[in-house]
Amino acid sequence: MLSQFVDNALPPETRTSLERHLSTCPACQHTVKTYQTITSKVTQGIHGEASRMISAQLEQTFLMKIRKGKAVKGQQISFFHGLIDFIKGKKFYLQMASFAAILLISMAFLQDQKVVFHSPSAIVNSIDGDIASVMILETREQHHTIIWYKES
Amino acid sequence: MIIILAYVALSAQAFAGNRVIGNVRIIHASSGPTFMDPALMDLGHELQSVFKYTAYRLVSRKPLNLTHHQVVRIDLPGNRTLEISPTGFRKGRIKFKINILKQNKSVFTTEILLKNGSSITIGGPDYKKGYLLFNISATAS
Repeated sequence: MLSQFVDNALPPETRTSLERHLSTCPACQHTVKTYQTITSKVTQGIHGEASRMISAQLEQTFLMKIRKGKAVKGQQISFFHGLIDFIKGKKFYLQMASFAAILLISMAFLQDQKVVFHSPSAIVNSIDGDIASVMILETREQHHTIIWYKES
Repeated sequence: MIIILAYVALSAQAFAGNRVIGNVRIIHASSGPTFMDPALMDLGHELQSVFKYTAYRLVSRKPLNLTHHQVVRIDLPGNRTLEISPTGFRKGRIKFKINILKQNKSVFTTEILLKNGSSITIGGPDYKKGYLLFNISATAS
């Protein structure tokens, strides 16, 4: 009965007599307060979830209606607008921002590490001649190319 | 596409002058008393990192100022001659044909792609209880 009282589901006469009882019964007053708190929290939760769902659904529905409207009018939807719709629809911003952040962090890290791709000072295409032996060397630090040959 | 075309155009322009400027340093390396010629300070550490020789002396230095396919002849110790000719440009490198002659007979020929603004060292011929090294540096302008 108390839950029906909280929900305003009691007939007026029953409600009046219950109110009279509640004014003198602390136990029932406590129970009613507990019911009211639970009802209030549940209602707030439902409203919050519903508004979030409605916002996303409205966005999608709105975009779909615009596209359909343009199609009905015979207007061609440009690739750019299609892309914008896709980005908005798929919540692409978050993914792009994450990717950019990872890229920036990686670049900063690589810059700190001073990663440099070295190549030899010279590339030897061919060697020929009247020689007994030949060696091609590359120094470790400056990647300086050295050709060492022994005359025959 | 615009960036690629601009890059290609700039690359082509970089070598449009077809002039190669540099120099050849003729070095004598030996196992005598430790010595590093002050004129070889930029190269000495690199040579010491791969060779066991203790003395490096600059014998002579010859400037290079060549046009495309021009051949320059440089006299070397021991009746030898060094012929150098820039024959093209590829991927930021200067293509060189290098020929070493002894008593007017070709004994060593190589074709290299030298990084623009860098150098190569060619060595090996015996000379005065040591060995000759030829350091060739070049920049395309």
